[in-house]
Amino acid sequence: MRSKIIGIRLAILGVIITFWEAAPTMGWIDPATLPPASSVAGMAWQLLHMPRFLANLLVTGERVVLAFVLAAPIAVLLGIVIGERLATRRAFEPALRIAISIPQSVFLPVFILAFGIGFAQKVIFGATHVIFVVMINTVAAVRSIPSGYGPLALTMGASRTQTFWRFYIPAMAPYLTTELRLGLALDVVGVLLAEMYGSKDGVGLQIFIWSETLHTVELFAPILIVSVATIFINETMRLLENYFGRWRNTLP
Amino acid sequence: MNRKLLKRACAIIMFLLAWQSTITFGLVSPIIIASPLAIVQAAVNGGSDFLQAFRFTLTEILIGICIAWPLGIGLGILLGSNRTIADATAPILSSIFAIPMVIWYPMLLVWLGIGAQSKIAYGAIAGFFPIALGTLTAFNISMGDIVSSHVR
Amino acid sequence: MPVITVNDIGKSYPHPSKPICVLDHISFSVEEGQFVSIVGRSGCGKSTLLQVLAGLLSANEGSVSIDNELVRAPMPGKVAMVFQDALLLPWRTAFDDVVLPLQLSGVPIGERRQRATEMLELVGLAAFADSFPHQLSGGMRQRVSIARGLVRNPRIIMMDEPFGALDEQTRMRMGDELLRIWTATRKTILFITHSLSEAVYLSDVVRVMAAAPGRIVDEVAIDLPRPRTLEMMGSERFGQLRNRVWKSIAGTSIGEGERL
Repeated sequence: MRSKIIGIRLAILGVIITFWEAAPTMGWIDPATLPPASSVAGMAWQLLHMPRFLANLLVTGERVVLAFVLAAPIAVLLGIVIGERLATRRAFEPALRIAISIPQSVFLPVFILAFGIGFAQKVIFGATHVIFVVMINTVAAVRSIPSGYGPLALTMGASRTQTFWRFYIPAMAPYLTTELRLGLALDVVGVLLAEMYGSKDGVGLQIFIWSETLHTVELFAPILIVSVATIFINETMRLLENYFGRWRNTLP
Repeated sequence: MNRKLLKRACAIIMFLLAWQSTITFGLVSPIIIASPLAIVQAAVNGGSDFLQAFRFTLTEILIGICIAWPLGIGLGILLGSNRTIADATAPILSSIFAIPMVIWYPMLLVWLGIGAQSKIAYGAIAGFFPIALGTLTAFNISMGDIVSSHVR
Repeated sequence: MPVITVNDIGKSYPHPSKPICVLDHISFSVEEGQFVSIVGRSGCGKSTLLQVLAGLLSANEGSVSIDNELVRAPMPGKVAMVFQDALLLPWRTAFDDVVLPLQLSGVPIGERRQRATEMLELVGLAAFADSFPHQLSGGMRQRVSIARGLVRNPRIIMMDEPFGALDEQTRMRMGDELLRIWTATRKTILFITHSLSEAVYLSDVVRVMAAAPGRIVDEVAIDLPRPRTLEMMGSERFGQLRNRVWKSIAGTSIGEGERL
């Protein structure tokens, strides 16, 4: 069964890569529009050795990480504070829900007006993507904690700190790991978007320039790099998620 | 029920008043964020242009939905109906979902030009993956339950 | 000298029209090593009373003393609580769960591992030490919960309908298990249930609670010989005792505060 699954996945990947290589090479598709896989991979390899590109990559990475590191803990904390009490939940949940339903990309021009096109603006923009998702999911996580844990912890002699770290946080861990993964993904989206439409540097800007100048091979290469990188990060975080949630056997 | 509505309405009005006053009293520069009044005025003045643009975008969105929903649900059901295929393809879909959609847009611009097609395609793709993934998962779980309840 | 002294406990909750009295002038005492059950209709306040005795809720009037010390807050070293829901932490194995109270109180690792192992053996689950709660049956989870309660060697164990969620067979087996553990450890047990047979079978004394307001209306001494066997449940004396308890409950009227 297991090998069947891996077999299917490999088959799908194989088909895609074969098509990607064959179609432009054979001329079924104009190679100017879709460069063959080998050229793109080759260009990506070259780019990863060019200092200027690497500098851009680094800058983007810094923005993403900084936005996450700043926003995530605050969002979790706020989520816990709001989620603990019915009154605060009632007060803030509607606002939060509205906030995440609005496509945040729409606000980019506002951010450019308010914060310019520098490093800080990207970080703030990325942070806003993280904050709302993490907050609203943390509120749900807090609510999912069984109500009996509080009295149980007391009868076991746990202090407030112990109750928080040994009872509440582990109970919330599956929610937290999922929402942090989502938050990070949205963070990347936000930062890249901001870089594509108002920036002096960064991978997003690079992609934008190459698309404007129709350098398709150069264009596809960073797209490939970013795709591989984000998939890698996502899968790693998912492994963590599965590790923390391994006690959650969902068979009824 | 009415009291709740009243409370909400009051909260919104107070929020708008606070917003307006920060601009009027010069606490925040009108360049950074406009006052509610200015917004209303701009809407009234530039109304028709905005409405036209809004209609255009809305059309693009709707067409994108019309593509993404059927394709997404269709593929989700197709893949979800077989346990093995579902288990095999779900991670692939969710991996693609993890890629920031924004970077696909320049690709689409190159392929489809700067007209409506690229926007529609972008919307369709962005909508397609979560729908397909969600349908696949839902279908997989419910099929699993039905099968196991029969086995019992 | 009694180990638990309940002195004129009263508790009410505020309410727009008039305060709801949940516990009304409750007094009794429990001697060391006794097995005492409290029975009553649903909603009569048994759980509330137990929570007050455990220090989880405070009373408006009266006092509770354990070992001559006033109960103001939970006393984890002296009193263990077992709830109807075993409330095992799902991310911890049975062993880790049992060891938790000792971790929280800073017992050194060697000692606490030994103690936890002993308790798991006592409840007969040594083989399942590395299982997660979702891998255990309801009865097994309750046994882990009991082991967890015993691990700090408390004087008193308070149990709030611990077997309520189990099926009849398992319930009876667990009852025997509990008696075995009780005999081996000589704890004082306060046991809440709404099964009259269970109460009579297990206890030395059965106290009957009425509802609205919650109060003790009868105290039945169970003079059946120990060790108790399931055959005793068919004896005449058992029937008499059970009937007495039943009549005391049936005699309690449905008060204003009680909802059906």
